[in-house]
Amino acid sequence: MENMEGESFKVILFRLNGETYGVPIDQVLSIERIQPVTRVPNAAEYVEGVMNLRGLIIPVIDVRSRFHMNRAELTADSRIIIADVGELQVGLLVDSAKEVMDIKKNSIEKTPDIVGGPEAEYINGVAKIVNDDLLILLNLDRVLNEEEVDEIKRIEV
Amino acid sequence: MDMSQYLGVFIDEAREHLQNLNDKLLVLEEKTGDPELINSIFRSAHTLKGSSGQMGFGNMMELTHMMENVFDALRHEKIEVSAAMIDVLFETLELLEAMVDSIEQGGGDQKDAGEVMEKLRALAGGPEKIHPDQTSGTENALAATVEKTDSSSQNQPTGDYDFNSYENDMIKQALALDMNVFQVIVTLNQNCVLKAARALMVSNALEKMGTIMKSVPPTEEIEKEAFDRQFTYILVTDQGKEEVYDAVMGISEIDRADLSQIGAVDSEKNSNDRNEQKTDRHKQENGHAPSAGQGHQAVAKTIRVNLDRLDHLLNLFEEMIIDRSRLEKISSSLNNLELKDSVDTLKRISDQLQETILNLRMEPIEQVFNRFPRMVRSLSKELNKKVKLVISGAETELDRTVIDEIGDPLMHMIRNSMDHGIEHPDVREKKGKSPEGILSLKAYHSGNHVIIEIEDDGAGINREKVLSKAVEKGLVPKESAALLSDKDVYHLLFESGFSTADKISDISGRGVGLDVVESKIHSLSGTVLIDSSPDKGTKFTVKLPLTLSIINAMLIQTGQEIYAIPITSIVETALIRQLKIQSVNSRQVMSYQNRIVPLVSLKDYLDIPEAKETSSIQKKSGEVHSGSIVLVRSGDRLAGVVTEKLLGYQDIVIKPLGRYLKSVKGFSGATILGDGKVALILDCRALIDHQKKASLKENA
Repeated sequence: MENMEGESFKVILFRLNGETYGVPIDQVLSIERIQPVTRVPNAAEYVEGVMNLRGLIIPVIDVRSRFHMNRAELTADSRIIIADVGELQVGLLVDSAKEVMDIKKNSIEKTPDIVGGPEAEYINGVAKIVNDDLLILLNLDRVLNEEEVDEIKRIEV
Repeated sequence: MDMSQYLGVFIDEAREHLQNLNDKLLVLEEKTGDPELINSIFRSAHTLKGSSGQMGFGNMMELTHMMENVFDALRHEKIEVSAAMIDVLFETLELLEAMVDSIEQGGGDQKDAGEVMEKLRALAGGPEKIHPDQTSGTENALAATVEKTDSSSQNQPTGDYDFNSYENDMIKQALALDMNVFQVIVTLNQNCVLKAARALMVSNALEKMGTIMKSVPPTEEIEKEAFDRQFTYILVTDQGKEEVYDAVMGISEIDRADLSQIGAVDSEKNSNDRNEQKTDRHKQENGHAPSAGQGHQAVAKTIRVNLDRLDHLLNLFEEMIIDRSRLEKISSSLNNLELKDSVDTLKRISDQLQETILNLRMEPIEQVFNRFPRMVRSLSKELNKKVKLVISGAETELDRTVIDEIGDPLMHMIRNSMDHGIEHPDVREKKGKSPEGILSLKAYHSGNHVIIEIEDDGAGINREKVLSKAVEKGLVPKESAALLSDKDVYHLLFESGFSTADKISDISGRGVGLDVVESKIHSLSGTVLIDSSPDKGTKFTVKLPLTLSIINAMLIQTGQEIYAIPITSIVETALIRQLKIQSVNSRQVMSYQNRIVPLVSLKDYLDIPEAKETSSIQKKSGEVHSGSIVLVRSGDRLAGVVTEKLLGYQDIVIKPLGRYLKSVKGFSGATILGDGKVALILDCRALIDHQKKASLKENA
């Protein structure tokens, strides 16, 4: 992969708290409009609940709350991105999700420290897109599996 | 011959035979001299040997052969049954089982069998060479000679045989190339069981030396065992007569092989012969069909279905159930009689369909129980205890998924009972008990559940010992220890990290154990109870649901949220105004059949937000004025769940909450309601545990 710096890959763009984020398109199953989500008591705070995605029960997490941003009001633009990472299928509640964009691999900078906001460990890198806007590439594996790690640790004790 | 299609059958049969051997060996240890039993064991081993050979699993065949030799020696009273012998035989069975497992997983039968084979050889008496024919051959000598005469008149080993022109050309070509063409007439031993297997081995051996041009009867008939004892191959080879003869005779259970060289062929003469031979063979087939078809031509009453297909069927059906409840909802709101009729019919049919589908997945628990006798036997040796295992209800049926999962927990509990429960023989005698402990394993149906009981007549659980240990480990606050009921104390054994064994043994008491058992059983939506009385024994009662995926449940609503409670957890439902609610220590309780039952407000338990239109019936949290109560049960503990509304019973499909939410406690899954929304299924055990802990904390 490193040898193919010039190669580009497709990323789904979404907005959170005024910033643009992206996840690789091959980690996304679909983008859904807002639909009823059932609250799950006793779950982590950022877990919005569970939804019915064509017969499957999918947990939905509020990405804002996951990154300790303030919760946003749901709007007509709000979307749930259904991510598929490993064997996990999780819905990500975001402010809006509209575009797919080609990102050149060599335009990604692996310097997460320049970004404030979400903890840097959840970020794969930052890319410049049009108008000097910054695109933050999320590391979904980490975003989704963090809790999992704790869980495993607890079991092994 | 492609054997892969028979592999499944072979594996199943092999398992059956191994199980049979296993069972019979256990009996043999008791009744050492029973000739009928030994014969039956011998036959099983023999069949297994044949079928493994047929499938080309040489190692397995060789090993079973060695085992068969031992049984043969037993049968002829050359040796006697001993405990050491049974041990070796069990060891052999284990190895064979491992081979079958490996074959099933797509591997071969390569296992290091050298040591076991050596032991078997020693048992069978001296370093005997692997030549099975010698042992059984002598018995057949007489019969064989009689047969020989009439067989030779039937099939003179001469060159005249029915060849078509193509075959004639082949023979001519082969002869032109200075190759030999042999007619190989093979006669099998009279008591050869798997004739097709032998024939295959012969043909394999011959194929190594050359090309089989023709076989009489045709290969298909040989595969079906549609021949008596004799079959003929025409072999084109560059090897000499001697080599071919040796190769054939090197295979077991071959009575004789007649070889003759074929020269140029006179085709006209053959066509006459052919007709004669055909009718001849017909007679032969008819006459021998019943004996030849043994075991292989049983009428198929069952078919094998891949479990994945059944799972898929169930998934599809679940989808249908969800839409059915949607239809029911629509129909009840539309008030159209015709629609209502149709929906009712649909419901009836799908109920039957559900029962049928779920039945397809049921299997007797026997296959789990079967592995325990041997385990108990070896364990009692290891522990120096005498234990008799009594199994009943092995025919009880359970969902396939449960069967797959329940083996290990049961094994753990049995180990526990043997290790900690049943005493050493001398201790038992001092207590005035029979030196042999009894461990009973029992399964039966009870409503929508299957109950499995594991009961021993051992020392029982020492309440004080358990309690002091629990206090020491901080599982129970010292002050409240005395308040715990006996059952609660016994249940502490299931807490993780708990072990009361004075010395840590190999068998149990490694700290992992019963807590794993409980979590496994809970994951199957089951419960486990312990009951015990000092010096009388201990009883584990495991209660499992018959099926896992579709259940009947009560839907309840509080605020805007709807939850489902499995009907199996519900004792009763009632309206609050019909009940007398009392306060004890600032907690609300109700009385039910002379018991004080604590109430749990769903609203408080799950932090349900206030409904927006504040017409809420419950004004202050904790104080109940109206609404309904669902009396739920977990094991023998009860709690009343206070909710605003009961929405009624409904069949729901249980869906897992998934890996991401697996650390969330309090729910056993989720389901999709008729309107497409998700409702969570309450785990009543967690609810009652929660209540219990809260009240313990308050009392302390």
